Amino acid sequence: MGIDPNGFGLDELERDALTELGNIGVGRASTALSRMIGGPVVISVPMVSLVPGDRVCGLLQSAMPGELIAVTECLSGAFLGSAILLMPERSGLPLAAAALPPGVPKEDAAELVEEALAEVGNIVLNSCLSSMGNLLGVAVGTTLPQVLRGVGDDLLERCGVALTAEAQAILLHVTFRTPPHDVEGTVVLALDAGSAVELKAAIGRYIGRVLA
Amino acid sequence: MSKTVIVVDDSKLSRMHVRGIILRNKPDWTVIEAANSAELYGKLDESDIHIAIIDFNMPGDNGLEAAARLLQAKPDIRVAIITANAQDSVVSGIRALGAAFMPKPLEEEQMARFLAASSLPRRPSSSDAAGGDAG
Repeated sequence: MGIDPNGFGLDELERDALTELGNIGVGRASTALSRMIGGPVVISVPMVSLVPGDRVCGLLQSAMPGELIAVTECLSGAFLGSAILLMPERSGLPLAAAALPPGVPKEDAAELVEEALAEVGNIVLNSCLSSMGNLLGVAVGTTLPQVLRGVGDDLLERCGVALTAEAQAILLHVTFRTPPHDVEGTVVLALDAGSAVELKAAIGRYIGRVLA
Repeated sequence: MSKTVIVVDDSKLSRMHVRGIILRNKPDWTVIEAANSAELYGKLDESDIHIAIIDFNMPGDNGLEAAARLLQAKPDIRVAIITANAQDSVVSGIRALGAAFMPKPLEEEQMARFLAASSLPRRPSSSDAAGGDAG
């Protein structure tokens, strides 16, 4: 995306490590999602960008314009911020339908959509975060998922993303598709400025262990 | 006998990691690297490659596609595919090629076993019944 991630400066190897962590996290998440919907999930090669909070919204809107659904959890522990699974509004129903167990009566299905989306988000975000946390050797806690709908700044703010230039967001851009359902999504980790420094230190330790 | 291994991964850090594991376990082996599948194809005729360790999720051809093409050109190469994506469809694709499935994060012991097995003469197809050929 051509973004210079110099809010807190990662060198080439650190960026590479973060991309690889994202790759592993999303790989795990897709495995879990595939099990949940009982079919294959095709994921793209993740792209990791680090951007100041005030640029998050613009970037997301160019990647995913229009009404969005966000499944969001607050982070606690080593990093503070939010983890969000974002998808276009039109992906919500087919994803929820795929995630619901077969044989759910149609009249109940509508009621269960929000619950199914929360569960999908919870599984995707937690399998992603837990594998990243384990590799980094840090404990990442999450709150219960919340399903929100909206657009742009307003939606991100309600997800707890700090939209100031001082805050940092890791955009883990990965599209996943679940053929035959036309579903796509993106995972966003938004960290506050202090946590970004923490993250850089943890990445440094991770690289040290990998290359030991 | 000394072998040549090619490590195919878009992450430089991962290539360094795998290279380290190989050389710790097989200090006299030669390790070459490719950052994607196109580079892998380009390097096939440059050296006599015995073993390929390939990341699944890469730009361009993914690891499965790369392994299939590689094995078509050089059926004797031993292949391992590394991935955190352990979906049934991915794992069965790896098995169908007769390649080794290596989950991410990598465990050095598992890689060491693969390297040791790969330096032995190929076994008959007993363990690859599902693949339908000697793999």
